[in-house]
Amino acid sequence: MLDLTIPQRQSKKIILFYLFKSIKGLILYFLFAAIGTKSMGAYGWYMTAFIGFIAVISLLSPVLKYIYFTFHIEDDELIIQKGFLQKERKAIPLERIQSININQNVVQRILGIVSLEVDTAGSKAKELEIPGLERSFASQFKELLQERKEKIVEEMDATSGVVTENKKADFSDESTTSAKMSQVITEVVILQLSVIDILKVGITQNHLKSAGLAIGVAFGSWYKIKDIVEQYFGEWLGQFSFENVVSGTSIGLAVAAVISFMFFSVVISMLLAINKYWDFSMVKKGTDLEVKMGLFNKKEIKIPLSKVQILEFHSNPLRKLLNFQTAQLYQAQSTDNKLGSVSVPACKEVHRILLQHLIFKQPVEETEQELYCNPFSYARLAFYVISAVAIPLLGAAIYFEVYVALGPVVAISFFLVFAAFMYGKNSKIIKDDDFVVFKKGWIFPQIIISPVFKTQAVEKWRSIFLKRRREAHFKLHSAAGSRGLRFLEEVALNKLMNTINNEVICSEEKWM
Amino acid sequence: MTNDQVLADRLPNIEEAVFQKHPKRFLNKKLIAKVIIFLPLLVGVGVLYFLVEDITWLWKAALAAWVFLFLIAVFLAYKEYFVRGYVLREQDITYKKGWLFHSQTTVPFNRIQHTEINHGPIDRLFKLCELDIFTAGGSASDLSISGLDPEDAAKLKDYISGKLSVHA
Repeated sequence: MLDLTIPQRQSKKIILFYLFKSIKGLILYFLFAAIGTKSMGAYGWYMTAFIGFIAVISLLSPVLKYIYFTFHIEDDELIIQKGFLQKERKAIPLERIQSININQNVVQRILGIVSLEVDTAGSKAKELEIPGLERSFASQFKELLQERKEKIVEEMDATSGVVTENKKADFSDESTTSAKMSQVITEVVILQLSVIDILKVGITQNHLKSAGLAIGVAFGSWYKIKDIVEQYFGEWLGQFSFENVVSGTSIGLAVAAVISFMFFSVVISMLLAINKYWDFSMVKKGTDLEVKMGLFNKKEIKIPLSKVQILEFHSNPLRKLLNFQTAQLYQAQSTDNKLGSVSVPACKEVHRILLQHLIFKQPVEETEQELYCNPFSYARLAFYVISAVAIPLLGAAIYFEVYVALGPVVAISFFLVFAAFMYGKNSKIIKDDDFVVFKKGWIFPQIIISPVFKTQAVEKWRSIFLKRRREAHFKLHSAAGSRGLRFLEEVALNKLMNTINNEVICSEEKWM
Repeated sequence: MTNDQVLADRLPNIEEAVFQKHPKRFLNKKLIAKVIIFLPLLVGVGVLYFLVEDITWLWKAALAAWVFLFLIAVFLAYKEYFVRGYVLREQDITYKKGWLFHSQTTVPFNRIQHTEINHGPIDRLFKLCELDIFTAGGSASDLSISGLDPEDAAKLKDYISGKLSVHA
């Protein structure tokens, strides 16, 4: 077993990792030195000396960083000390640990090390990352932390005495499972994706998003190499001035461009999906969910089931054909949204029910209260916003006598208003005994399930124009962020808010 | 000893509660703050008047825009003061604010992590302070009640902390 009572250092390979990180900056400095000093004449020497000094420091700093980075466990706290000039000491009480993740990016993979992330959810950002550990060490460390944490929590529960009925049930359940766990760790594979599944996921991704990404990357890299290209191929490119291209294109060329564009966005979404979800597996281990995925950047995420705050299911028309849904598990977040969420692609109906059952134990039962959005309000808002754009466009089209443009503009505007109407029509809030369920969206439907007792605050808001129409928007704040729907009837909303709030007050379950 | 069963739907609704107003000094502070923000812009209009002599309508337009925006800002600040208010009940705190965009948030005490009292220099000038209430997770559900009397704020904070220790 590991002995962590004395401060430990990371694997020595981390020096290389730090070095790699600083090399990027170093190259820039050397380039500057090579180009800059020539033009500076006599002062160039000072400059070179200065840059040399910086270079030495950035070569030394990885070693210093390695020497001064230590971690250990003391009095049930995980303590990390780092920094040479500016010393920093972070301490996390073990019982506060939310989740422990093991990540590995490409560089770490080459070096054969992993980073261990310890996440606590407080209102102030508080995470620890130990970027360079040997794989076996990291997994032992993870187990150790987990065990110690569970022990402490159990002791606390036992001593506190004020154990409510619910907790008691949970507690006895947990203690029996943990007793079993010490002998055999119960592992249940929930979902494992084959290559074909991943390809399916890739094909059914939101291609518009990856197309946007493709454009972004293309433009970004174009600006970087623009100068060089123009220098060498300037004359040749000059033939492709805007007028030439426009007059030269036929419809065939445009179609070819569109098709190749679509092709590339599909390819990109496939590649992204493969990179992200390669070797995806989700395993239930005791009371935790363990998710592993990734081709280049490997990720291992461990989430205690009781810490999942919100469960979401997303879909789109293509996925609907395959009967796929993407599940999204949200934990309490400390800083931003990405950190606390895990997405599970290719959920079939079976997995959906299984996940829901695992995480929340109860199914969503008969509805107690149902709130519908007002689709006309959605359409009205969309109409205002779109006409602010469309009317000047139409005016310009008429002024410049480009009457061909009128049709598409009107058609797109009508479609957008209609889409907003349908969005409103398909959106509603369902409240049953234990859950608030949001159903949202028309083309990209979402189902958001949030247990009532995990609510932290309820908010209603509206603009002055909605007051007259007796409508308001609703926001449900939980530790995993806010979810909400707009344009709900105010009287019904008041009732919903009161019941949620009162149920939270009465609930004594642990919500974090 | 009584230990009646509490049913969620029997608890009172927030609509029936009476909201507490902020002290009048808060309105004064808001109005003076608006003047302080807008004065430098008036200097800008003055610069236009003295420097750009060829285009005479320019400073007039700028002045008109300044007056218009200033009046709107003052009007909004004035209106806002009267819809702002908080309710402290036995188990939760509700805060509402905003006239143009109105919002009302309720946070139960058993979900509050900690509270803080802040006062900036301008606040101190007007004998005001701000009570910040933090919940777990992101910052979306944090409440910040500005423009409180320092004594009231301290009492509120004590009351809430007392409730927190019960739930902790």
